[in-house]
Amino acid sequence: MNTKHQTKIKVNEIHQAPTPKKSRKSIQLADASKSSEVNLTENQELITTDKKVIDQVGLLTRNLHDSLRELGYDTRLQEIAAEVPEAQDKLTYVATKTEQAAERTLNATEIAMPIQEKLANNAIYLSEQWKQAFETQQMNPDTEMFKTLLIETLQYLDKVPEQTNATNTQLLEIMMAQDFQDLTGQVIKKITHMVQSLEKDLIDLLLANVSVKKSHADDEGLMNGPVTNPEKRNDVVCNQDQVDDFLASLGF
Amino acid sequence: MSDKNLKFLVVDDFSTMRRIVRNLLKELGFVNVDEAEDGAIALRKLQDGNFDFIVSDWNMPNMDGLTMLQNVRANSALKNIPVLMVTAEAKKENIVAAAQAGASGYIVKPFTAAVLEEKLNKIFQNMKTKLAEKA
Repeated sequence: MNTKHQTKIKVNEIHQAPTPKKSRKSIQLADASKSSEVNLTENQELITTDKKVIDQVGLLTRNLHDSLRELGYDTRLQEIAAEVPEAQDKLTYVATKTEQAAERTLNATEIAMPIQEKLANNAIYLSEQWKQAFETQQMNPDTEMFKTLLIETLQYLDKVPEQTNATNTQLLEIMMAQDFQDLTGQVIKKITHMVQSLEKDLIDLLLANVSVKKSHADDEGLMNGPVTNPEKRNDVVCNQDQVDDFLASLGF
Repeated sequence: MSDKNLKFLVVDDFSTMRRIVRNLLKELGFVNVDEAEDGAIALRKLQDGNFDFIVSDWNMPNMDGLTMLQNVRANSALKNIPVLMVTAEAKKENIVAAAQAGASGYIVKPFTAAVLEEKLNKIFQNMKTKLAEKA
């Protein structure tokens, strides 16, 4: 091994060093040659120990490989590794579907809202006109004005079905946009199933080789996202009222 | 103080949520609304911007909402801008941290239009009171 060779060279170098002129250096050299002898023995011991450890690790590794193969876990590990990208794809699918649904829904509402607003505003306007007409007409009847108002109102009324149909179309669009739920629901079920079997296999693997204590997934401090299991926890609030009450109790 | 020309900055990494908040603000009559997708971009816009109100998520990449809030409060030009947190984070720890960092309000997702309106009005009310006290 290399270390043995290097140690030998070091010892030779010290013996071949030129004779020093200063006394301090000669003392150092004497110490150096003594400690080099000590170092040589220590190094030999270390080398032997190192070799023992390496051999043991090698033996353990081979045992682990053998038991994995015998239990069929090497194939299972390969399958697990292959399943992860599939799970990722499914999750991407879910994210994409929900994003598309949200987009569709928001588009529909943004189209429908102005229609409703215009419908209301025109009704308010016409109502005002009629009220005014009635008031001024007491003193100065003007059939022309009434006729105009009548026609305007008739036109408005005729246009109402068109507007409400347009809004209905958007409402239907919103309803249809919810179709993602069925698809994503199925995919999520599959992913849940995959993760569960993954968990089972990994635990089996661990139990077969190491003793394991089940530990809590660590909280990422303050960036945890939505709470999905509030019933199991006592460090979270469940709704806006609880948030408000909690803040009030703190004096905010 | 509920001047309909108030300039809002909506900060959230999900464009859907930004769009929802924008539409809700429009329903309440506020049409001057800009958006940012993380705290870092928000701070840049705020420096240039003359904003009167910030509505922000917490969990975002690059710079999260709490850090952004802390930066806003530490900045002499921005420190008085109200910051309304709108977030899915529901741990009591979160609420305490936000309050201590100087959040003007805390809304937990999912939320309703009514809640948004209520919290906005509460902040406007507080602002009025503060101004009256200064006078």
